[in-house]
Amino acid sequence: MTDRRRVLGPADAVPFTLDNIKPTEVEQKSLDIGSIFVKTGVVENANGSAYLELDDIKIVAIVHGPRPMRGLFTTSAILNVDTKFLPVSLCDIESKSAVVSSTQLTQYIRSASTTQSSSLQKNVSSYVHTSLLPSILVEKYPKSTIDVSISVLSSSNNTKTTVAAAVSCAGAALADSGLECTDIVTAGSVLLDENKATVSPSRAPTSEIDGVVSYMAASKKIVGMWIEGGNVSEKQMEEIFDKTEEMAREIRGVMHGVLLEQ
Amino acid sequence: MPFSPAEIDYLRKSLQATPTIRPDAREPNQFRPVDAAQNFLPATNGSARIRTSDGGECIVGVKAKVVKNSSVDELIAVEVDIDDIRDDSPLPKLLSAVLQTLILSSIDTNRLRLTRSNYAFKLHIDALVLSHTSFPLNLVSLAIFLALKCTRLPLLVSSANDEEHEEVPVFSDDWEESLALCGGEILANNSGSEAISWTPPLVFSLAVVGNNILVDPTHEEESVSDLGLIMGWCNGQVCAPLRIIDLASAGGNVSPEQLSQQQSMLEQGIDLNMKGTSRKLIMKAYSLLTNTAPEVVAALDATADEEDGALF
Repeated sequence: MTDRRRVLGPADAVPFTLDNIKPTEVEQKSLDIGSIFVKTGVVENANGSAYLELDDIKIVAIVHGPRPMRGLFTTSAILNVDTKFLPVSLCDIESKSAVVSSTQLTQYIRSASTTQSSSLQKNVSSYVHTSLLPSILVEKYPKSTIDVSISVLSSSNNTKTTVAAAVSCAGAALADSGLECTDIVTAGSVLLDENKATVSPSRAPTSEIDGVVSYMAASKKIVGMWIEGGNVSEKQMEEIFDKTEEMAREIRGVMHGVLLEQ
Repeated sequence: MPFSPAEIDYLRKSLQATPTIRPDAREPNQFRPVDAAQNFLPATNGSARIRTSDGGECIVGVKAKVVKNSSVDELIAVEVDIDDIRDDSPLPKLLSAVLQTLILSSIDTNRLRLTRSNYAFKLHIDALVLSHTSFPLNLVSLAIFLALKCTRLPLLVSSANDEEHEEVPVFSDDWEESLALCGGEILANNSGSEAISWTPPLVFSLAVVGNNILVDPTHEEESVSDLGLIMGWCNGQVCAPLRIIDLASAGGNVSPEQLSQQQSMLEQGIDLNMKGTSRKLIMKAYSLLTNTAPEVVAALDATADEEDGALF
């Protein structure tokens, strides 16, 4: 690692193009978390990075740090998380295919990126921050910052699944960075219908409960929780924890495989 | 205000003890005494002010506006403003988002409908936190509860049926005839269904210290907590949003001195960093809230009844 002070663009960057978008409706099985692909070390000039695909979701997380901090003396590292939803990732697929001309598309993207994303980005950043912080041994890095930046290239219709993927991807990037950690953070999402629970849901909730819970699977700790959507009974709470833990474990398993290979 | 290592150690150890010892000798499920007033803003449909013993103060005004052709999601707008903190910083954003989703999910929007297809009331709930030392969520939530409790909407005198021809809503001039937003009558009038009264939702912040859960944590308790839990309460049940937040840094508003102070604690082996929680503790918080929240609601209802009729 040579230059720790600046973030340079990757040398092998290619422009992102949009083609062959078709809306698809697939009936989701309740215990199927979808197909996952994880690759670490995708960005050369970062300390750690990971790319994660979970069905339609595509996320890149980059970790820079420990980087020296100016002006302020602290005896342990400060974690900063910055999340960016690429404008294209926010438009849902149906409306994307309805937009015909390229100027229309640009306008659509612009409006989508200003209205919805800013508060969502802040919410997701603070959630990821809360989830990751307990896993890092920040005391080992005085006078420095650890910067995690997450780019959501493509998101699912369900925000909680996207958030779960973002946490897991950032967890993998941290593991790749070689920073001292106590555990790897992974997360699971769930949507509770009246009678069934869908793990890693891909549709947006109407009035059902949906949530994401982050775990440090090895030490069996919950490090983040974000549940929305009406009354939650004690049984439903248990179910949310059961299902999300299952998904978090499964992602953790995939991650172990990827990390051991390297 | 940063604490010395000795203070932090003392606080942490006494809060972790079984049974927990809080600096102000409260029970784990006991709130600080609050001072409440309702209906003191004549220009609003409902208002409330809450003060706590640590000097925290919050005022809330609810204003209703007639809107045309709006979607159901837009009928409630919660705006939390905190003195000394920028509007777009994370803390007020978080509070507004949490309270807005909570109120929207608990209210039957038929209460706000005026005509069947076009017109409805939109409630603007504006909270202003004048001063606070601890995480202001409890304060704002209690004040909004009381303000909604005393909110009254003018009586509609024109026809509610506008499916065939356009109808502009006309209201009775007599404020004596206005209907309480939370009463059953308004729902019966608007939707023809049964008269069910509504209890506004509440949201609590709880601090987790070791194996203990504390409601209504003070600033001292927050700064040594492992983490904070946000839990909603509506219609006699725990409800979403359920979130884990970092109370020790209260939404990312720590001053640099405070931060370096906390870091120096770490050096001396005093563990301040939040290290996650277990499922058992979250379920413990859940049952604690199930036992405590009804009492809080009852206490607030009693305050609301006492104050009733104080309008203008």
